[in-house]
Amino acid sequence: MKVVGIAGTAKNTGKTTALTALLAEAEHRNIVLGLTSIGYDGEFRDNITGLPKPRIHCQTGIYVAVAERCLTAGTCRVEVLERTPVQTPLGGIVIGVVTEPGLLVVAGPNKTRELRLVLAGLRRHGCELVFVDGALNRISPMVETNGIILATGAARSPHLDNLAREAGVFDRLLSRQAEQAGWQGDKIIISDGSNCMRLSTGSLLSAGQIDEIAAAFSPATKYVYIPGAADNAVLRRLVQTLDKALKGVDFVFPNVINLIVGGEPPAVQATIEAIESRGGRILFQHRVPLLAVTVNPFYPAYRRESNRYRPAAVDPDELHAKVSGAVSVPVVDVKREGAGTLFAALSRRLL
Amino acid sequence: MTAPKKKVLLAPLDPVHDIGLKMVRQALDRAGHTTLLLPPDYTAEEIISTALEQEAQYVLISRTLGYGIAELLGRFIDLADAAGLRERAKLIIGGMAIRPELAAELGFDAGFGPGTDVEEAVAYIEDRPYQADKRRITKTKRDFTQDFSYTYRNRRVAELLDRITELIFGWAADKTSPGVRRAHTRRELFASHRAFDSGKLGGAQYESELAALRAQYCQDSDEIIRRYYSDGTLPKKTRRLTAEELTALQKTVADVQERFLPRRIQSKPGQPLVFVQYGTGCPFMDIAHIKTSEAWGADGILHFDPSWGARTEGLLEGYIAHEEDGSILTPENLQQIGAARDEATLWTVRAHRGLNTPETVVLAGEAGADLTKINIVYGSLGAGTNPERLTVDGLEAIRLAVEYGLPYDIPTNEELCGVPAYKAFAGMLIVAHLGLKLGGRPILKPLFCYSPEVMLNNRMDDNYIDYNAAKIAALQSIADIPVWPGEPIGFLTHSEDRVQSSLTTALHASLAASLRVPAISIASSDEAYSGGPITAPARIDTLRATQDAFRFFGSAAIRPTEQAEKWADELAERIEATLAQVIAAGGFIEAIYAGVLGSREDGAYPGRTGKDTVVPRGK
Repeated sequence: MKVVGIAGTAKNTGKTTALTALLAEAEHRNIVLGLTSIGYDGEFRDNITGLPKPRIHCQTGIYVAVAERCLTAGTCRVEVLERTPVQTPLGGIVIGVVTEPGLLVVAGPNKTRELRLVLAGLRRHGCELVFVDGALNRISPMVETNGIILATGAARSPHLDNLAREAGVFDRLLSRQAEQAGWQGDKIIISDGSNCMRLSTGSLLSAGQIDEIAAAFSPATKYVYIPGAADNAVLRRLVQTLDKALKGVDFVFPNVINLIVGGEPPAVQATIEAIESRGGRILFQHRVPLLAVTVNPFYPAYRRESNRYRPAAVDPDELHAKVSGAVSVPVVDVKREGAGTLFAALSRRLL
Repeated sequence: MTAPKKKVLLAPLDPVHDIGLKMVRQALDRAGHTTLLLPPDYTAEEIISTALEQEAQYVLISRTLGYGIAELLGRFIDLADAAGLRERAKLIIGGMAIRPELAAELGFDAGFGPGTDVEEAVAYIEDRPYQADKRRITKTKRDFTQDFSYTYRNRRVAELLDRITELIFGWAADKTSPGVRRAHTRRELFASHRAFDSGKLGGAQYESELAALRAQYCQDSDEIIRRYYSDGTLPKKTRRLTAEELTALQKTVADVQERFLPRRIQSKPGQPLVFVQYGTGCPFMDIAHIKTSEAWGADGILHFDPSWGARTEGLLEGYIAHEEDGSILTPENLQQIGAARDEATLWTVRAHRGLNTPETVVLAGEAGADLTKINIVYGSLGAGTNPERLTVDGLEAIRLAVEYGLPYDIPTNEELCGVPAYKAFAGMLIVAHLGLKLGGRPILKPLFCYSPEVMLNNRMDDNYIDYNAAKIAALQSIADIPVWPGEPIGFLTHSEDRVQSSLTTALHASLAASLRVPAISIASSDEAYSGGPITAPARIDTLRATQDAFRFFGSAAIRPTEQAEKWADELAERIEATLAQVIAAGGFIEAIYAGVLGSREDGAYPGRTGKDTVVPRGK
């Protein structure tokens, strides 16, 4: 079973549009499909801006893992096969199969561990390809996927150069190869290869930890293992504090996403480069590759006069060209091009 | 049984707003949980790192939402997830724009929006189902007239009223009218329906009885009504509701009822019940207005029918909508509207002023209304109905109201024509006394507004308080009869500005509350200037404004100046003098024509509709 995550750089960047198109595309390829979400999507109107949103159309035979209250909100009929122990604000997550096609509201598990549990369930029911719909700009549960499609566009920023730069950074961050470093545990470890020093915390979140780590450092230190999240500002200061001592030191993280959640991607990239320029390395135990980028010229423009959002758009050709120039993966404007290219990109890499 | 104690971190992700968290914290502390409230300037990283350090089991975040904030909270969750906090603690979000769907979208375990009871958050943390405080939201219907003794404090006025009403009973004893006859035919129609429904009457017999009764009804009706019963022709600007519309209406009502959670406007016992009026012409829209009003705390509703209904002999049957001006009185319309109201809502159907007054009381009584409205004097002087006719019909209407157990209010709308309050009050007291003699429970409903009389006589040059207070005090000095300021309060102080209209309504409501009256009627904030149907948001405006005004004053009160007392004494004296003049004029009808209860100079004209229709009984 392959799992594809659809992550957005912001709300309204086109996750749902991409998902809907992919489901339609996969439909006539004879693949057993699964669908879940790490948030809540497919509602008629955006919860925050009040603008209309596309809803997710599900064909017969698709396996879905959604919160129980979603089943009465949509128009498709779902036969419930299994109730999972996962709870959400919209009720417990159930696994079911669509028996009559229609629209579905998809709210799924929103914790990484719970997503893992739900994906295992979908695997048991024989799914071959599962889509995990993103929520807002959330990315952390995407570590459970085999690859992600990044949805970006004018809703993230109408400044196309910034947008392209950010997509490029995402691409570079997610392209970093995984190394099979055998570290484990839930606390930060500082090691010279034979002696290990364990800190009381697993994440690097407060400036107070810098001195603690610096004190544990010796010229023989070879590894810093951080199993949790890293706040980029703290990591940056750590790099500046340790400076030349970083030469020959490997920073090991479970995956790149634990860095991305701690700072804006360009800032994270800059920190990685700062470590590398001092002769250190950043290693990841697990890799989630970027499969493709979708671009969406639409954005909700805020009108202060009326306290309302109204639809607006940037030039779609310029958006496409700029993002394409910045990344190494296919870039698709789903609304204009359909999902064919997008599906081809993910089958080439995964199927 | 006590819940296990929990460790809760409360963190405002907001520069200023953390009052909600403070209240939740207080409740959690009281329940014995360990809490830690972070200052408002912590970053997401600091909050998460503190939660991990403190091993918090619950993290409550508060945030007032804006567009970029959704991403900020998404990032917070991601960081919490990657840092392992999600596995150790439940994350809860609260704030003004939070709903469960939004909490789910943001990835929180729970979301609490505006209006959340602190107890709901505590229940979540103690992992037990939340029981909404039933006392807070359960409303029960009460007949507030039971709180009054209906005795006179002013003996002289009581004596005068005795003499006047005796004259009226004597004059009307042998008289009847088409309106009175129709009311009785209508009662027989209802009796036939009941007999058929209970199986006492067979189909064929039922049909022939209906046909005979309707034929009799048509004899007492105008051409336009006769045509409806003979070939189904509807009056202009009306149409039948379709079967589809009726089904949709019932479904809507059922849907709303399921989610319905009434609110209370009063913050203290003793603050007046709040009534609103409806009468869009369309039963569907009326019901939408009623449910909206109930949801925002209205305690009572008043049915307003089209003005032509007062000038036409006879009423229609069926589910009929009207394009403008009031909702048509039919047994079916009333039944439909009445059934849609909440069981705690008091329902008034006005009957007071025209040719269908007694029959309207029958319709109201049969539909299960709680109150009705009858004013012979206003109907005769301000609404265009012939005084003799309305005296006969009004008397019968009061008798029927007593039979159906309906208290009735007597609005002094003739004040709007320019009739001075003391004359209007004298007339109102006569109609009230008729009811008392017949065993009824009348309610005095003086105008509580900036009426033409006060404009002409400079009674409100300084403030709106004194003269309104004087009117209530004068009536209360005469008798222990409920005084319900109407209709609507603050009338003619409203403008096209909704905020201004809501404010003056709320201020008048506060004054009424200070005067300890049992009920008030309020307008929507666009009522005076809507130029068409009023809107739901405008209804909510004044209901909310009144609720907050009641909360503001609580047990405190508005204090009128000494002038109020002087005017109250003056009003009471002039009411008494006016009643004496009614006797001097030779009786009630004579007094109406002589202008004792409102003259042409005042702006009151004896009506002509239904002239010469009063006939001796048995004819």
